[in-house]
Amino acid sequence: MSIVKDWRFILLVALLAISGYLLLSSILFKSSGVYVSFLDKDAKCSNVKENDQITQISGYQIKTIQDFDNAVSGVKQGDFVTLVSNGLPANCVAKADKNLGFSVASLEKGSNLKFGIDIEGGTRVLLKPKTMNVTKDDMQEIIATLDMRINFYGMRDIKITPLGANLIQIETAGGTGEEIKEFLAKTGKFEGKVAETIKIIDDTGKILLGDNSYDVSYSNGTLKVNNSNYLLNQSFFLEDVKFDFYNTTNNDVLIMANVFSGRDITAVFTDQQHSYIRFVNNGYEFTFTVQISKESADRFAKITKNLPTTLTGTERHLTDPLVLFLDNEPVTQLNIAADLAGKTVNTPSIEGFRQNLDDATKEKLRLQSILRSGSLPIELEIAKVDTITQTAGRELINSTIFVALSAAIVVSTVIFVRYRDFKISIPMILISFSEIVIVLGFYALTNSVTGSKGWILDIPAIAGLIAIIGTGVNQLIIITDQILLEQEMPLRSRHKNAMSIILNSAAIVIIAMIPLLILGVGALRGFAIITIMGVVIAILVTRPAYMSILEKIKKLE
Amino acid sequence: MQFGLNLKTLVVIPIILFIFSVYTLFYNYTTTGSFILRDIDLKGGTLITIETSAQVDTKFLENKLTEKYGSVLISSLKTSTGYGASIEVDVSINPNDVIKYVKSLGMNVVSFSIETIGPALGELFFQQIISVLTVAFVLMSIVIFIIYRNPVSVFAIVFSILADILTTLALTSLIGIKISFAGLAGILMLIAYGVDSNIVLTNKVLRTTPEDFNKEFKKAFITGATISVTITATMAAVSLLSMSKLLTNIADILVVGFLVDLVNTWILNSAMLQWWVNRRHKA
Repeated sequence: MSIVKDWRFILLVALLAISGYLLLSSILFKSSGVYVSFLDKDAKCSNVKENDQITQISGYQIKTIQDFDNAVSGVKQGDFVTLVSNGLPANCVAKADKNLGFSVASLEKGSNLKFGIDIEGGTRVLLKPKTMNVTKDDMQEIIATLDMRINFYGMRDIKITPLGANLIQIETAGGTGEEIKEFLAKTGKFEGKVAETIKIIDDTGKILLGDNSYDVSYSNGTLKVNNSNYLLNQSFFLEDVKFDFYNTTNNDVLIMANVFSGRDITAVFTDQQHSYIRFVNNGYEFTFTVQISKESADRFAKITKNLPTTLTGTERHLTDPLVLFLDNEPVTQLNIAADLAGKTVNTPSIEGFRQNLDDATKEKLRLQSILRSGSLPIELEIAKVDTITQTAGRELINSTIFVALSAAIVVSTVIFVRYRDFKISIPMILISFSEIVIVLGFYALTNSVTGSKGWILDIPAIAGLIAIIGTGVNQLIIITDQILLEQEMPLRSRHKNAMSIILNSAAIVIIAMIPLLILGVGALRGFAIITIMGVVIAILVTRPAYMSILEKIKKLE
Repeated sequence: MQFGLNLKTLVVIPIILFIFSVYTLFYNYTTTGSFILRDIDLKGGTLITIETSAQVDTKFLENKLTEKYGSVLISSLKTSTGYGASIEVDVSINPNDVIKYVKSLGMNVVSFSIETIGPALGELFFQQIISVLTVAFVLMSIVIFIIYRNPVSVFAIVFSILADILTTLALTSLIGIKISFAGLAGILMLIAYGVDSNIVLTNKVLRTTPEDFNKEFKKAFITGATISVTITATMAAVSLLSMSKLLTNIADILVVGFLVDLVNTWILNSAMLQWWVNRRHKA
């Protein structure tokens, strides 16, 4: 049988081709540029926003982070610097030497390999709750709050990972750490507003408030209340309630009655008695209680007293919802049960429904976090800070590539000295190399299918690649010796023996790495993932392929 | 003299090595409060790594910094410009001040990195290493038991690996290699590679007769020695060439570990297996 018809060989070639494509496509179709990843609060820039692409600084073209570093290296504090941001002229007054008041990250659309901050440069902070005895629920809430901030403030370059039972890792690429400090301090302005739709017939309508009703008129975008005119997004008072003129459609005007502000939410309960999820018909219902100020409870009763209701399924609720705002942005809305309308409730409970438990848990945590204005339930302190400059990271990767190549040369030399046969040593080396390519291809695949949110290649992961070369060569030597040195045995048993040894050895590698993967030691996760993946690919693809090559070369059939 | 005949006498070497290692680890514990030399991430502190454009006079720098900041530890470093140093100071000291001060001493700092670890976190990392290592070791023992189900060979492998780990830790502390969190990856790889050589040996000699023991042992040794030499040489290259502290730490541990494993696999484990093969044959 010719080798090109052997399934073991075909599988290897196919995987190599796919991996090669995934890896090369990220290099070939890479778009270059840098974008503003973080704008300091006290930056003196005009026309520069976060996520803008910076293409020019003081007349220099900016294509890479290196270009950016070079362009700002000569900047002194107070210098007036011109730039081109998103294709438009912009400028900054330098905040300090070499500092324009913002950080940049490289824009790598289509890049399938994402590097860790230990290579890209950036800051990694480990946070620890200030108080002892933090429960799992507390940690979940902290993470949910931080996640909400990321989504809400659109800080795509801050990455949060829980580490172990009570540590949180925050990473930011290409930054200085300033981002993380501000990120941790970030809280928003919370407001809860009850919507009220006003039917406009013949240019007139009614606002209901408590037992009173106010006539209003609306025409040509102007809302007339108590003889004053209001435009969209303006606010007016009726009695002691502030209303926002929020939106209009053909026949309706939507206004929002301000009920709560952050100050009114005096507590968000998270203990098991006041905050829980239960299984109901085909899904999960979550409930939690909040405590609100007396004024806001009264205001709520007054506003909702005579609002119209609607029946959805078996539940009757106010037709218009309660809308929650963070920093003036609507973030979510809740239905108000009809039996609550007009009542003064100091500790209302908030309920919701999701199809599965995970979504219900997440939504509950998200709502709780919004109601707390995004403030953290427990104060955090910084336990560890790593800052890696971009140049240091680049040097590290260059030196590491050099190290990996040297390792490959050493391995090749030893193998050649031992077997003194190119026909054996060259396939061995190529097989080892192909394992690395396939593993990296897999890494690239995770990023290509998730839009660059897959696995990250950091220094521990590179250590894993070196470990794969090690285990790989181990096993190839075992196979070669089993097949070539045990000539008195039939080929089939030599085969079986070799496979049994390498399966045992693979089982040990995997079992030794699993605790590292599970016991929450995030720092070495990349190492564990790569090593396990390497061993699995080796057993399924590259070892069988090597056996087939070896048999063909040595004409053992 | 036949190859491998002397195992009974040679076995004294790994046994002495094992006792000596256990003694060293306990001696370390009673004198320093820690079995091993912990790197900064396992004990807490601030590590500043600087790259300079010219040779760093570490003695001078150490004197100057100790004068100003109290106890500091300085070692020179390989970097891409060829010059650099790592400065270890207490957590309470602001690392940016230290860098400013170093610059004011006339040193041209090309680039730097700062790593700060609170002492409590260092302790936590250390505990995590212990628990990951313990679980990995127990799981490994269970898998070995499932594979062989023979009490002698299972004990021989598990004990060899235990000896590998303890002796490696003891020797690193004597040579002065500090174990960092990344070292955990090195020790786990040592378990994995160490088991490989033991499996090769056990598979070859377990079912053989006393007459064939030497022949089979020799075959296994050729394969095992090739593996050991390849990995030791590779890791030595990584240790010498790498600028990454993480890679260097893993490589250092594996170089020491592999030399130790040669003794434990090919003398200690082999002697136990030879005893077993002889005994079974007599019975």
